Amino acid sequence: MSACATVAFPMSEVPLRELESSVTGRARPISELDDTLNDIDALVKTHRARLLRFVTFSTGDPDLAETVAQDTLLRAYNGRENFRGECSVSTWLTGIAINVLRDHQRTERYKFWKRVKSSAVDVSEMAGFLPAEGTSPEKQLLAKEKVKHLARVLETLSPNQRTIFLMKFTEEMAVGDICDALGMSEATVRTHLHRALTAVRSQLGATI
Amino acid sequence: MTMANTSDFNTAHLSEAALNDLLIGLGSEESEAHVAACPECRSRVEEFQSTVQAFHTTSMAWTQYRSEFRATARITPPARVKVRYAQLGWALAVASLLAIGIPTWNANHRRMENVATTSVSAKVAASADSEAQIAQDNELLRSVNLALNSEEESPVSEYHLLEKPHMRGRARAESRSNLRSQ
Repeated sequence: MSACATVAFPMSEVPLRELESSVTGRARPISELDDTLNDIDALVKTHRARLLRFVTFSTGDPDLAETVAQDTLLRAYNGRENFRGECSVSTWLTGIAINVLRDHQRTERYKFWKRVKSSAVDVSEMAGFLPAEGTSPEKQLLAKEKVKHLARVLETLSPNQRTIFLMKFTEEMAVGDICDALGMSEATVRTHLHRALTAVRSQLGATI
Repeated sequence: MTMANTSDFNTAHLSEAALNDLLIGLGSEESEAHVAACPECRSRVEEFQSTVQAFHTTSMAWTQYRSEFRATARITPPARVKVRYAQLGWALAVASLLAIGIPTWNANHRRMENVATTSVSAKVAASADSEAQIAQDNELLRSVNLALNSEEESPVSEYHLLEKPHMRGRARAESRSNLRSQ
């Protein structure tokens, strides 16, 4: 369990302020922790793309991801005094993003737009951004297909499995930090991860 | 650790659960040792890691691009400034239209006037030319008349075209006999 792991109750019942400051120990001045938190431009420049990716693939909705990423960064900047440095800024922001996303998903407006529109991730466009890195065209093509395949497989997972898979393998968060951010026990997180991994590996092919 | 047979790496490999634990980062030392020694299990782990790494890199590059693209799009001036720019644009368009249109209209107007003046003088010149031409033609006709041989008989009188038809045959025969005798 990481240093951030102090709570283990349903996230939906946790007020945001409590979550964002749900760490034990003496608070240190923000300037000692991360200068980017004091500069909104630096905060956006450093973390926006990563947040955008996480929410985009977690929800499958790039438009919603834009809104959530924006709200997350604004909320983080306004509540930067609550960050005490027990976990990384990225992990802290991901936790806030989870809450912002839940707030959005509870609203009637979100439910309405979810019914009337479908804004999906363009997997082919995304795969086109695979860096060449001096590989042969055949290997490049193969890697692109794998990326597209993985993105499509992620869409088939349950929301919890998908979110936890992304937090673990793309956000590279520790299991303890995932437990904190989602308010789940370690056993629950591990179960979701196992199920997600089994589904991904079986759908990606027998070789994995 | 869950492994079918830990003594023989060629026939027994890591179970799905053990492999998952290893990929999550919660694998036992025994699992790690097995993967280090078993090429097949290592290949499965590496294949999964390479796929996830490719997805990680690609999705990050994609969202980075989208993030920068949107950020650039948001830097566009606010609506009020846009309206000002629009008004300035219209003013410039009208000014340039006037700057180009007025001289062009003036030039056209002058050209039309010139054309009118030129056409009158041309008509006058044409009429002068026609009088000279008439005089020249008359002179030519006169010279032609003078050049014509006055002794030569006119075809009209030669063939008695103005006489009655029954007289024509006789006259024609006479003229033929005259020609033969000559």
